[in-house]
Amino acid sequence: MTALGLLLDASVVLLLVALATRLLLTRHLFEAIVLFVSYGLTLSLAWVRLGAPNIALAEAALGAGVTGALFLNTYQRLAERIGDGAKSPLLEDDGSQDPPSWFKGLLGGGVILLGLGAGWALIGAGRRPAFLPHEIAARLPETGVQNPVTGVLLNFRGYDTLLEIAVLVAAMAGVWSLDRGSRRFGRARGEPDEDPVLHALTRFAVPVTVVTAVYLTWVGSTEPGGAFQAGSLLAGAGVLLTVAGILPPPTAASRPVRAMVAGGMAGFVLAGIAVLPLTGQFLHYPEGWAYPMILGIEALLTVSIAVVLVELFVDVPAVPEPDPALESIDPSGDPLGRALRGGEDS
Amino acid sequence: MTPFELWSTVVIFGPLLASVVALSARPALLRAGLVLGSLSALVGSAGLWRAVILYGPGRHLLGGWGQPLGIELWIDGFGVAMLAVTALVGALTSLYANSYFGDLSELSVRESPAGRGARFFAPLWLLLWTALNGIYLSADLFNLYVTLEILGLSAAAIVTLAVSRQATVAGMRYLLVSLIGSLLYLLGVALLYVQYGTLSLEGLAAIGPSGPIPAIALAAMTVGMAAKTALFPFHAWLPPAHAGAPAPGSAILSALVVKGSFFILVRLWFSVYGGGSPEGLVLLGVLGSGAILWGSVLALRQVSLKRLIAYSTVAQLGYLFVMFPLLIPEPGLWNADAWTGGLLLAISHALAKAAMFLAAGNMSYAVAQDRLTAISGVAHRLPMSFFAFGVGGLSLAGLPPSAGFVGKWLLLRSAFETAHWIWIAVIAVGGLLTIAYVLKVLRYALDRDEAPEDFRPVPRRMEWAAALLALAAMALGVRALELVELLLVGGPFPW
Repeated sequence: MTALGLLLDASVVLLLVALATRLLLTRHLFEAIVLFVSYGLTLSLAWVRLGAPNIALAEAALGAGVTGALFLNTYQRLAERIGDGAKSPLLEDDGSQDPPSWFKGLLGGGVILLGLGAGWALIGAGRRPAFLPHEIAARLPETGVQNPVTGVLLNFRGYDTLLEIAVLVAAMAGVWSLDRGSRRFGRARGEPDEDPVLHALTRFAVPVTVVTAVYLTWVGSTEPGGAFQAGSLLAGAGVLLTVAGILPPPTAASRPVRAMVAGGMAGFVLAGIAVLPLTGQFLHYPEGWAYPMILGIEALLTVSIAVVLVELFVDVPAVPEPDPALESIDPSGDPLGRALRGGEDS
Repeated sequence: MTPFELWSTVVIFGPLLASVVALSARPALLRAGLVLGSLSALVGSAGLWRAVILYGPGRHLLGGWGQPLGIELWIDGFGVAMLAVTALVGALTSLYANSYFGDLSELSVRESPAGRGARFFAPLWLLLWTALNGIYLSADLFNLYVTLEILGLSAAAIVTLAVSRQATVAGMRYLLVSLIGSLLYLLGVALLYVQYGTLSLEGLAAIGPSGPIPAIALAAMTVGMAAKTALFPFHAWLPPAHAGAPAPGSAILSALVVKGSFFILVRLWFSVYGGGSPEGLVLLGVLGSGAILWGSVLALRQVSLKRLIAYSTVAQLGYLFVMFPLLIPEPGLWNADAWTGGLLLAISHALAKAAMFLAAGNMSYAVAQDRLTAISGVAHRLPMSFFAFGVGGLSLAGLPPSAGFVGKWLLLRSAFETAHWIWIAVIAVGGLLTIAYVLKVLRYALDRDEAPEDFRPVPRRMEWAAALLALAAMALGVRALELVELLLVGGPFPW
């Protein structure tokens, strides 16, 4: 490792620790969001330095990009609800809701102890040579793709990826279940568009983004790329189109939207079951079929991931009113529970 | 294609496809999704039960790779027993839910706020079911993490289906605890992978993890899973979440969901780590004893019916951890009575607790309130639900011939054999406290001579679902031998 490389690595590590510490200590929600996005971008730099461009791409797109956008979106709605310039513990924490200090100390001490212990053990221990990467490299030709990450995600461990899509669908169903008909993002269809900058940006950025997303899906079998990265790019285009009022906001009530959300998962499962009579095992692709099946699954997943992300961004779940029948139901409450809750919902 | 490959596919991907039907199709197909999910879970677990008894433990190499490159499903008695009880409780709760939410197939999007949310009960629950079945068959550390994520998300969403701010807050808190638990688990997975280069449970068991890294990994994963299982003192999130959910959701969460992370703890401590450390096992047993006493005393003090049942879950989960030290009384020995007794308790708790929550749901459905004082006299109007609650409660307390009795008997016998008097005392005191809080509810329900006046009629199916579950908890004791035989296929150390 060169001296310059070492210097770069050291500064990335120090920056990560500094950003994380600041993020945990700040009492301003907006500052915390900005720090979170910076942390995600720095982390993706760390992945680049570790030689994992796939993860770097995913971290930048999903960890910093999509999550950051969702946070900013939430911040905007909170600020609107609270009103201009008004103070609220939601936006600026005054510490009144903090748990007792013994609890904070216990938790912080435990986390630090765990981190130090794991670090100490990792540095001190002799490791087995990592044989799995060699095994993957040796058997990659059998997977039908040349990118080892895609080989792992769609073939060796395709079942995990299938269940990860189920995680997304569960999140989507959960958000939809909270939707109680509140106001949505974006304009109604046909409403005139008043923002020339937004309009120009949309006309330029959307075609470029869509082409890039198609390329990323396609290239995923040989080089860094794939459904998750392509889906989050496509979601960016979808959000722009929705905000500009060109596309109607997707809703749970729309059958095509529900079909697109569930389509990736359904196609993946049906592909897995279809090969069962031929090869005897779920998702065991018959010889020669691996590449076309993987490409088809990736294409379906790209669409599903994109629609879920747009919908997560656009949808506005509402908080329901307190149920008076449930108040004062916990007078003989659990002392351990009260400590955890900081006494706020008594 | 072996029966293992066929039926494991049916039991995991049947409910998953059913969730697609329930999610993407027209409202009329919501019921079709529940039926498809229930049938595939019942048929699939019955097929695997038969296969395991005939051929012993089996496997399904997903993608055709096998470990360490690919993911394997591992099918043994413990997993199949959990699949089967999940299928039984799940099918009856689905039947109940269809009536509880006002016949799911008739709901339209434009209806009340509660109606909007209820339309997503079926897909969320079917995804949750997929995740549970996935956990019971998984033989891969990282795969378990992914199933835990589906489980946690869908479970928290089911809590918030009850349209109230309290339920939303309880659901969010549950989600956060669940995420922290998952992250601690993931830290353990990463440490083990760095050390041994494999994610396969079987591969790790063959190596026999030992040394500082595996110890830290086990500690992190145990804390994470204990938080998800609501083991004392990590239980504070459970009562508001389980009591706040709509009745079928409470039954699913209390009877089934907490068993998922318990299953992973048993797999880790025994199947992978070969017993871990004796001190660790005793510590888990001590926390379990704490749960029994703390949970029971707080259950006795509740003024709300569902809170009382939720604290009873905290207590009953304690018994499952008393199993840990009793299973390995001395290094190199394992006690079959502790294994079958502890797991029979887990299974009978699932049936009994589902029956109790559904019966409580019927009572509060009828009087539109959840306070104990409000249900006074309800026994006269809802004799079947009263019966279901009572029988379920007695099965929890361990009265013969229930499965709870057989489980406690076996657990006590294992403690007698090895002269562990302190555990015997805890088990006995816990049983008495259980009888006390069950009787407290029954006394309120029987309180007045005449029935309450403001009374909403309860659909027959909801009464039947609760009663059938309670009967199953009782009758299981009679057929306990078959379950014991199943649980011993593979045993605690299958590899």
